[in-house]
Amino acid sequence: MRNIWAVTRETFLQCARTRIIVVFGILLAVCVLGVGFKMTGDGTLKGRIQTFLAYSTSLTQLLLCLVTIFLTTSIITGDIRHKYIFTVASKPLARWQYVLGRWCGVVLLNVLLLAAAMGTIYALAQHIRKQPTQMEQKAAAGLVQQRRPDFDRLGVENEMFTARATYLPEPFNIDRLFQYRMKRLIEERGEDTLIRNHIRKRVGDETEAERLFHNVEFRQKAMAEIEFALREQILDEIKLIRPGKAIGLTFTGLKPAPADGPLLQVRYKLNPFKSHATILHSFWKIENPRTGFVQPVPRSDSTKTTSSFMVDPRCVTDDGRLTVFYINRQPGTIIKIEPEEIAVLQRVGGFEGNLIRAGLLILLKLMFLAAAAVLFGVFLSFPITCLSVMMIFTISMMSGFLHDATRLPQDADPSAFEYFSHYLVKGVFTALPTFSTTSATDSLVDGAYIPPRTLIREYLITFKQAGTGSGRFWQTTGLEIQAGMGLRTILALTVGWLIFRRRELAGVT
Amino acid sequence: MSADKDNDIVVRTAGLTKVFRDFWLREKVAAVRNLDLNIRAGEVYGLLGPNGSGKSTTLKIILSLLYPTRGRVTVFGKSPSDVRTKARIGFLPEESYLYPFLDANETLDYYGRLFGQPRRERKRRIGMLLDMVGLTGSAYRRIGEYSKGMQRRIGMAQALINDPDLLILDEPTSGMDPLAARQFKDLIAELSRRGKTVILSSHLLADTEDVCDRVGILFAGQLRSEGTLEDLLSRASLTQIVTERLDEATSAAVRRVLAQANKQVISVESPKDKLEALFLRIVRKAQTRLQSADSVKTGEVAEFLLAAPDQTPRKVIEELLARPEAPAAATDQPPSPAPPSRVKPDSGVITELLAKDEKAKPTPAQPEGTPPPPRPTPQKDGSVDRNVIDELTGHGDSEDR
Repeated sequence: MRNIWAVTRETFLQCARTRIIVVFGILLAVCVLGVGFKMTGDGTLKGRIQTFLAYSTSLTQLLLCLVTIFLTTSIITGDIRHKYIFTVASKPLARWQYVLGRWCGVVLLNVLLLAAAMGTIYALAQHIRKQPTQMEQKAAAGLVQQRRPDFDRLGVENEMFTARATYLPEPFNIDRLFQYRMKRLIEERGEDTLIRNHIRKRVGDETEAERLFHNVEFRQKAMAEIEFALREQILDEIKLIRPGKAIGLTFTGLKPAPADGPLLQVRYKLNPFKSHATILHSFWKIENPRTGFVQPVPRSDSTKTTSSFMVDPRCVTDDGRLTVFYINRQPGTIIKIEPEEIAVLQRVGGFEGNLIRAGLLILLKLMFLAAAAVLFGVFLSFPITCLSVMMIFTISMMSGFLHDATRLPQDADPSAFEYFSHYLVKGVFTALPTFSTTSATDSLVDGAYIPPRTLIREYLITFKQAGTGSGRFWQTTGLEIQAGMGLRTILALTVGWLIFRRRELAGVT
Repeated sequence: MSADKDNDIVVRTAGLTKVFRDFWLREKVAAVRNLDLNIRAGEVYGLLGPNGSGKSTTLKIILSLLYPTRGRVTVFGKSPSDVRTKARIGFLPEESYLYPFLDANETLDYYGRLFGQPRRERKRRIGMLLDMVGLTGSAYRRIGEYSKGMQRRIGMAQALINDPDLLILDEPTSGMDPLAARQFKDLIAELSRRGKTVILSSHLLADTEDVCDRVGILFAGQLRSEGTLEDLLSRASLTQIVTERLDEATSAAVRRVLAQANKQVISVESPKDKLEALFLRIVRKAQTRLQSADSVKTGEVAEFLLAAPDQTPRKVIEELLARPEAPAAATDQPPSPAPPSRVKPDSGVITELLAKDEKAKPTPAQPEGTPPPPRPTPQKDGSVDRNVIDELTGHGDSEDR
């Protein structure tokens, strides 16, 4: 342990005395302070804080990632290139202690830099928070009366300086409706006719359709497809809200809050169906069936943008349920609601705790990058190591996009190239982490709570449901276990050590 | 000190071969071939050879910085990669390869930590080592700002931080000024007195000759010759006598005696001072005059490196610099022990000579303060200085002047 600490300490000193740290400090100061004082966002105080948090945390993260890659790579490869390793490796220091010590030193520096950066961001965010909103400025000038609610200030306090958990509505239970409709369909048309028509529609050829119809396996498959299509049709019908009609959505698992507790928020997006309406009029009713408390919310929102309104905490029942009714008041326009686009946000923690957890998420990325740099640095030269880790960084950042871009097409037979790119990317993703799984920046900007459970998953193991289909037709095929970035970090360090252990540290002299 | 059980061997290599290969695993160079070494405890062993002979490669294998292609290496009876083995080794590479952003104090502290030394002990040793290598005044300057010589000194200090049982030195005096080189050689002698084993790789033969008990000469990766310096250098068929300057009559008498004994005089010469001694004398004078604060001054040998714990640290440089007034070999207590290989005067022959020659008188007692006789300089290549012979025999006076 003493040896590891000695190497860690030396690494820290080495990093701290590198000029790149000075450059980093200047860049960070320019980015954070510049963004903090110059960017105004959409003109509101909330917008200004959101812009500040988005830019400052993103830039801090990016700069720290680059610094980590550069420093770790240069230290490890520099030791070998400049032969400093001769003096170090001839001391009673096991190779694993050297590898771990180097990594710990960089991580220690990261912790301090990150703490300094996040501290600065926090201080500046608090400074901006204290600035007056437009309404407060007008009120101070006597132009408006302060009695009107200041939505900007409310937004700042309830949406920004908070940590809110997101709840999605309970899935629609369409089983009874589906069974009823299926039964009626079979009674009306007959099962054989249904299946025969379906096969004929798919195959096109009459003779071939007849042959397939007598194949039991194919018949079962065709029946499954009919059921799937019917379910989809029913759900589409539910999602389509005609003028004057309503839909009820239930959210569960919320925390019951006192009457003077923090406000909840309903966030939603309305899509006009085959209509060119730009403003949609609607009426929302939030109800607590236990107490009978009702909060009516009339709204007029722009189409295809995310809107929100605040909800009284008294609407939540004692067992943590919240029922939201949407009534379409747009004459002549059908509104389509996707359940995934409606969410309730409830405050479950403070901004400070969330900031720390966001910092820990960023730190995890830095730890992984440092480990990757150690892994490559023990056997590759500086430029190649730097390039390799930069590639890992880029791929990990863009993994979501790359994954979508190389997905196998579902409506046509994939080509050989599509198969190749899909499995290549899949293989790379298995080895590399996904940086975009939980975004520290997005969480801070949205005031979204980062639960400790997420941190544990990211650090150790991520469980993902594997399956097919999408939306309500998602069918789980099993549990996909992905190593969290923490485990990947340990793995990278272990492989690095195994390589370094066998590596000769001197060449021809 | 525990060493290899049989014969107290500290470092043993058997059939050691190191082949460097290129990217395609083709043989690029065979740096060491079938090397068998047995270095004993307490020995100062010199690995000699021209550049590219495999000296550094051998040392790096002993330090597990390289792995042998074939053959076996043990250090203290264990694998060289064993951390317990490394805890007993001090290593000074051919260049000082120290972190340039650390200062001398931090450098020694870092290496002390790697040896698991407690803080207090570390501080004590760092202070003594910095004093010993004369860098106390530069302790807080970054190594990157040091001159090459200063870097060598701090490199030497880091090699000694653990008071090693085995000290491995690769081209140790390269970049050192003669003052530091002299001190370094004295240090090796001191360590040798304490029973430490030293392996020294060098192509500077004078350095090796001054301090080594045994040498191995490598060429093209193979051990060409090995033995004690006495075995390798002594020429049993010749005898050298060193006396005070002889006048012509005495010289003639000596020749007559030798002629009677059927012995041929091969070389008669006046021993010359060594350039090193001359340099030390000049620097000593300059130092006493200027006492410059900026100049690098070396101090006393670190207490923990001295033979007896109660021994008062010696002012090595003072002693060294006092000596050049008289030739180095004649001081009462030489700073380094006379290497065993050195050619010593045969006292039996002197007695015989003096007894036979009536004209020759016994050497009078040396008066207080009189410079002692010059140190014998072995005639390394056996060549004959004709001028001196002629001068002694009186034959060449007219021709040469």
